[in-house]
Amino acid sequence: MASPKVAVVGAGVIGLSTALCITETCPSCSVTVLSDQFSPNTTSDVAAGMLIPHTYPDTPIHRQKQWFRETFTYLFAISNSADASEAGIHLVSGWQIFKSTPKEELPFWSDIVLGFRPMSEAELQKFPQHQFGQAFTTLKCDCPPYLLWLEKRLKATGAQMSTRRVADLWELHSEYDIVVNCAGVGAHQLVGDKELFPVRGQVLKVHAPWVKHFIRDGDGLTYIYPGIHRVTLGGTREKGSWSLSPDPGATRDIFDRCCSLEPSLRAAQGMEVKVGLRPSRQCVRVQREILSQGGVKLLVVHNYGHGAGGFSVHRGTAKEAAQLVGECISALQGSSSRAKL
Amino acid sequence: MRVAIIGAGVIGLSSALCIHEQFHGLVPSLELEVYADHFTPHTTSDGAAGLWQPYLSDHGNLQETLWNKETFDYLLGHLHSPAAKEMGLFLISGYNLFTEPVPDPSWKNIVLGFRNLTPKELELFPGYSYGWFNTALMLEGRSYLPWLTNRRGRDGVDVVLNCSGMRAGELQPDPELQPGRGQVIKVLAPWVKHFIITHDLKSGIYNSPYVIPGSEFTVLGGIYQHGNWSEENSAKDHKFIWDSCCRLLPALQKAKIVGEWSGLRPARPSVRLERESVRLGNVQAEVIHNYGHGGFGITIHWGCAMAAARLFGTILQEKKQQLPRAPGPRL
Repeated sequence: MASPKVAVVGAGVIGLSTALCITETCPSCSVTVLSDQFSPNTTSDVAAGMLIPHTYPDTPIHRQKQWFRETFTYLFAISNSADASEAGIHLVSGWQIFKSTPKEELPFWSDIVLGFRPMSEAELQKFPQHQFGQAFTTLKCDCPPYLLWLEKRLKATGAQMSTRRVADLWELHSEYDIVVNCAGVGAHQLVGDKELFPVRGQVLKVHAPWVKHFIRDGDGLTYIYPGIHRVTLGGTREKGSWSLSPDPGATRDIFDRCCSLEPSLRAAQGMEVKVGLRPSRQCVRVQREILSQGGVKLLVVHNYGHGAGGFSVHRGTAKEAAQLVGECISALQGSSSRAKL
Repeated sequence: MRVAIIGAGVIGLSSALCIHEQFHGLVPSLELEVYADHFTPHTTSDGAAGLWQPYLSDHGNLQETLWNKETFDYLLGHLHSPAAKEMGLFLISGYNLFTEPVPDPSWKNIVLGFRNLTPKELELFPGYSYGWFNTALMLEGRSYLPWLTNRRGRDGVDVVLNCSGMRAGELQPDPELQPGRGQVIKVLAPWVKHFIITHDLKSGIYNSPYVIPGSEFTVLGGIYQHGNWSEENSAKDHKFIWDSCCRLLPALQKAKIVGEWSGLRPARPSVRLERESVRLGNVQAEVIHNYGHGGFGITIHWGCAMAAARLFGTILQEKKQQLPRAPGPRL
């Protein structure tokens, strides 16, 4: 098999980073990214892109930690290079605060982010309604810049990008040897995964360049994430809602909650309201599958279901998916050489 | 009671505000007038980035450390007020970098969250093996000076507040007051969210690159030339600042330059904050000197303004006790 043809379905952070990893591990592959949406219209574009992991209930912690560590290391190197502003990657410091002390004071990722420590009494004075907090420095991936940078790097390898709505993976079996499913929330429809459900998130993006720190309430509902040009204010977590329309009541509520943590936001300008559907699952599905239909086989690698933690683990899962693609190629080469015999 | 304040930088305007706030209710005819050759946005205070950070050591000058603390606490108290944005006041965290271990600074317990840098953090800054992380405050002169002016609704001189900064020597010779010339490059680099200040203990304070992100642009600097009165931008200094800051933060290579500025830090071995009775013929005035704040004027301003106001209060006390109350000729 001279040049395996790989299709990657989905052009959010998972699809693009997976495609890029495949070009890195298999330079002879011809890679095509297929998606009905590209940046700035993907779910990833709505996200703030903060590297603060979400915990998946059914994925072993050591695996989540490995994914996060790989992602953090990869982005840390970019943030420290001349590419940082084009890629949209930058360091940001801040606080995660809790109204009551959490059971787990040291999350699994505390030794991967920088300078993690409990907040001092003096620091907590800024948040009179909160008893406990953690201070640390982490990374932020601003979208669209990060996705556009991934697209640029992909094109430089010769990978193709094509706007196309894939309704069924079998549509691709005649043109491609391997299909990589990074369809995010679309996987619910595309592969009929009933374990995949949306968690609707509404956010506001405002101009408030004097806000230099992130602030996150440990309950996950209220957060302030300063990006390169705008600050993301959040949010909502509505399980099972498929609605992409902004809700004005939620807008007022999000703004008020954020202003109570950071009063200077009252002077913020230029508010944009965005909605994204977190592609949620009890565990991230990074897995090979061989689909069968009337004697024909289709090799599939899944990489979806990252929910609220896509950016935090994207590079780690992309590398794992690329490895699985490598295994598919070996299997194909093995069977094609057997066929020759 | 007529008071002249000479100087409209952060020291002059804050001293005026402090005295106004404390005494305008007590002294019905209190008139405060600010005199200066430059007003915002053309003062030395406007050119400064606005970061609250004292020098590394207070050289045993505990008074200045106390004034710094008073200023920090005062500003921190205003952080959540609706005025904060108008004042140009916000929290900022960042890094101080060294090539060797150094003692903790006098201000370690004034700022928030002071700690040493971890090995992983030091990987960000090749060439530096030791450093601090802390959360401090920015107070941008471009916003703060107009705010100070507006706060003080407006209304022969009995008292002169000499807040003339670099030019104090023209009013009264002071060989201890010397310029500490600085130059800065202003760039657009909104992805930089931390201040980064490097230190070269051999070359002295602010002669090593620093990056300070403001609310509209980021300031790159690293020049401190004692005795240099030139306010012209130097090409050689530009190159030093640009090359050394880009080495420190490679991402800056892509930043757009939007301005450049040189200013003279009014440097003195210690701040001159004291009273003096000045006599010219049969005319007498009380002078309160408040100048010589070097590169830490914003950092120390409120503590000094409060001290100047206390001296003013003493002057008022003395004038009340003067018998008979003769309205003599004023300066």
